[in-house]
Amino acid sequence: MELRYCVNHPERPAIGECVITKKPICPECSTRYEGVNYSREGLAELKRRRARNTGLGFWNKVANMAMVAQAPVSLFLLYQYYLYIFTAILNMGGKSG
Amino acid sequence: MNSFLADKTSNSPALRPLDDTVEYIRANGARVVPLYIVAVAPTTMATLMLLDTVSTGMYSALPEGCMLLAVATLWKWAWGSAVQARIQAALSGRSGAPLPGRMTYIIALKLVASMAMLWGSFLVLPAIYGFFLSGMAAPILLDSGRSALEGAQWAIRWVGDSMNRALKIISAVSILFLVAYLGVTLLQLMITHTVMPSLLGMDPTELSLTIWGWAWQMAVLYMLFLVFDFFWMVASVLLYHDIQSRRAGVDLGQRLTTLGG
Repeated sequence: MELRYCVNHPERPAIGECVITKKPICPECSTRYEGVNYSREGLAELKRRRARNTGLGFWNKVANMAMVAQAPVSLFLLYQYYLYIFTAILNMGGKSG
Repeated sequence: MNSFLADKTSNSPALRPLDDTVEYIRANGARVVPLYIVAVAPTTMATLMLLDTVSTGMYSALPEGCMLLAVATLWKWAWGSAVQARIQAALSGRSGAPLPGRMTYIIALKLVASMAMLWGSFLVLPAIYGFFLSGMAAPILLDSGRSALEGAQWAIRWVGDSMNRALKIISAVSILFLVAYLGVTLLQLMITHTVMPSLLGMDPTELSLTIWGWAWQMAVLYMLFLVFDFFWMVASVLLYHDIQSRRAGVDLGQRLTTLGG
């Protein structure tokens, strides 16, 4: 496997790459946030993206509420699916078993 | 599983999470199997009751049985999420978001995924997205502060970007299921045609009638489904962790070795 070196410290082996900039980074240049590694530039870009998305917060909430609200309909469709499958099994010859 | 199956986007073999799943279950299965049994006990009872209904031809009892199975499915998802949360906490070394607070979103996401997987199966593609979304719903929502919508978007984007990888995983799991079913069928044939009449000197007629009946075959399929369902429940967490590990440059294999002691 090819050994990669830190983009800021060419003498140091990289531990991974920034998920935003895709550049290899060493432990000193890496910041772990929400389980993944970011470089300094990557974090700044993430901050910019989050700031841009803040305006969408309301619509995200609406979409989340819609997702929870659809649950009873999906549950009914799940019940209908089971009913359809077991009726089909019964019609196909379940009685002969 | 096969190193040549590594896809273009990564150096890691596509089926490595499945290999890791076998390893995880071998080393840590005892920690999660009891929770899984709690999860599937109601669905198993409801399914066996429905199979009994089918074998006796009682149309009128089907709606109640299916209603019971639908509710038991919710129970299975809730406890299945607890199984996945336990595995995820062990893999990541941190507890993540509290499960009860995320449960509503996890169930909602699993319901959406099930609709894609069941009703969308005749179009094939929705079923593939549903398969991965359903498995990874809990790991995605417990790992970070993502909303249900963002979690769904994350999974859909991953499947879209890594379709090759996703198809290899689905193919491997399907082939394993078919081989297992074939193995069980051959075992039953061997018992009724060789072991009982030749080795034990018993008449297998009655057993043969039971074994080749609809109800028995469906029950066998369901039991096999349970084995694979447990496997996929564990594999989904490891797959999610593998995706995150590759993004973060952390070796999942190393972490599993540490866990295995």
